[in-house]
Amino acid sequence: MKTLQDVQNEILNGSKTIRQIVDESISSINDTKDYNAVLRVYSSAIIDECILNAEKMFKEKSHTSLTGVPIIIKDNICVKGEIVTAASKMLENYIAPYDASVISKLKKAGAIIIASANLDEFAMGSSTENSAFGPTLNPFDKQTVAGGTSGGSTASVALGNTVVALGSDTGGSIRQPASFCGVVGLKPTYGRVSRSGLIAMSSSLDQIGPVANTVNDAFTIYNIIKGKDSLDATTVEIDDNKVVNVKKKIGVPFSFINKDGIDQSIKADFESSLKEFESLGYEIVDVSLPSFDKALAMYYIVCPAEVSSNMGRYDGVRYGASAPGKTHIESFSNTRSEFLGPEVKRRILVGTYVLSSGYYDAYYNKAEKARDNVRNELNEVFKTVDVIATPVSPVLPWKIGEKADPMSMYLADVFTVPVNIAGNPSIAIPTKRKLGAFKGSIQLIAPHFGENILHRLSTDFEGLQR
Amino acid sequence: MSLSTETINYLAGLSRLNIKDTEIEKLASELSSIVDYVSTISEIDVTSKHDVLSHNVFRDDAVTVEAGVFKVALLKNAPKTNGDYISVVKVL
Repeated sequence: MKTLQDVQNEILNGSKTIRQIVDESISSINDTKDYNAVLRVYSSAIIDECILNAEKMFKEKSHTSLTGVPIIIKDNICVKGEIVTAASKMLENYIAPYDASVISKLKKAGAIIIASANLDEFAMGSSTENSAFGPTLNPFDKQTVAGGTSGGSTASVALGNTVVALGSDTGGSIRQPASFCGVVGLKPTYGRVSRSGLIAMSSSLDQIGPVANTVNDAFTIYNIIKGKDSLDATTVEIDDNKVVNVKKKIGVPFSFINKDGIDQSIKADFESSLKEFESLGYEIVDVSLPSFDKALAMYYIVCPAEVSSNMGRYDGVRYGASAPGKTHIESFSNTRSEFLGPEVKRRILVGTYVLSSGYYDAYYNKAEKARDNVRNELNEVFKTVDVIATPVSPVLPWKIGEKADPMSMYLADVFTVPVNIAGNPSIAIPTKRKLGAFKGSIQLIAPHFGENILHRLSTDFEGLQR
Repeated sequence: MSLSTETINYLAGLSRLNIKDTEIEKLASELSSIVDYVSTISEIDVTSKHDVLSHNVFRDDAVTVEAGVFKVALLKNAPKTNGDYISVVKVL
């Protein structure tokens, strides 16, 4: 079973009950335990509640395309009454007091919220190696990483635990693991999906998005979770049923892509993908995006800065783990030092530095202004092309433990990070080519709120990958 | 190295983190290479006028959640409680 429709057909034609579908999912999760994609199956209380709701919806003929279908949730999204850890010892026993807005929407659509997926701790990383509960192994090669930070979400779909999952993307954290696991991953426009109930990492960059086997399924989930939310003031009301006027042009920043460090097999796969677009009548246009060169530097200023602020709440007082201290300040330091992992600490320290007196203007303020450059350049380019295409990652999935140096891990984010910096929507789609053990992948970037354009072009491209 | 161990200790104090003596050299080295990399931001030209795309979004100044709805769940997550209060280390 690969798609939402496959799962639902079995329910609708009576060959399986919802309960059986759910049990199969849980069996699959248990059978693939050694990949460490799923952190925990949710309690029977919530699963039973979801099943009852789904059965009711089918009976009343009010079902959606998601009704009765199990979905796995990245463990930084709150599900009421369930433990949510952000893959950190700090929240190892924390129970979410409310549903994230996206979870409420999924429940309303009749989805079965079934299990939580592994991630890099507090969504910081590019491989899921930073999880306090062990890395997630790549479904194609157990010695390599699944990608991150939504490695658990993408691996669980690739392993067949469920056909859909939710991830979150701050600098590529849905798209990159989607490419490493051979599945589809969509990062919506910033502001399109509510962040209420998403454990905050970098508030001007984070977005929740779907992981699926097909483009259509990814957009089905997207359409259910999107929307203005009074609980997230950064969400917007937008009419995205506008007719899309397709120019049939795809922009490629060739000089940026052809820099040193891109794996030759990835480059070859990308070039084949561009030829495939040409066979569909698309014109490939060389575009200039000079600000992309510095987007990674902007990101590794803005993101740690926001992280240092968002991590301030973990002090062992109101929730989370707690360590004692002689004074209250000592108890904060002891708590944070004992229960936060090394990458989280690194980012807190870098963030503190770039926000500190004497450095704020040169770093954080400058980076925030520089984001305009990326936004403006993209807006200019989108006057003449429908989407921009790039590879997703410059390197193939690496061996677990291989990238010990933080900077070398950061450099793997070059193609995905500029998108979050500017807030644009973007999708990673697998190609039919094999790069060693792995599938090729391509990234398409659209104008703000251009999810319709992404849907159209990715569907066209996907059609050639069968 | 662009970040000295003194600076790391200063930042650690600000962010309420304890850095062990055995960790500090490695941390200073890692953070220095990160800061060196992001320092290339100085090469970018930015306009002095920053397009502030965000605007304030207010909600009505009204109660939206009934009192006590989350109390039990919130207190359950607190490391130490005393009745309906969260217990903390002495401040004064």
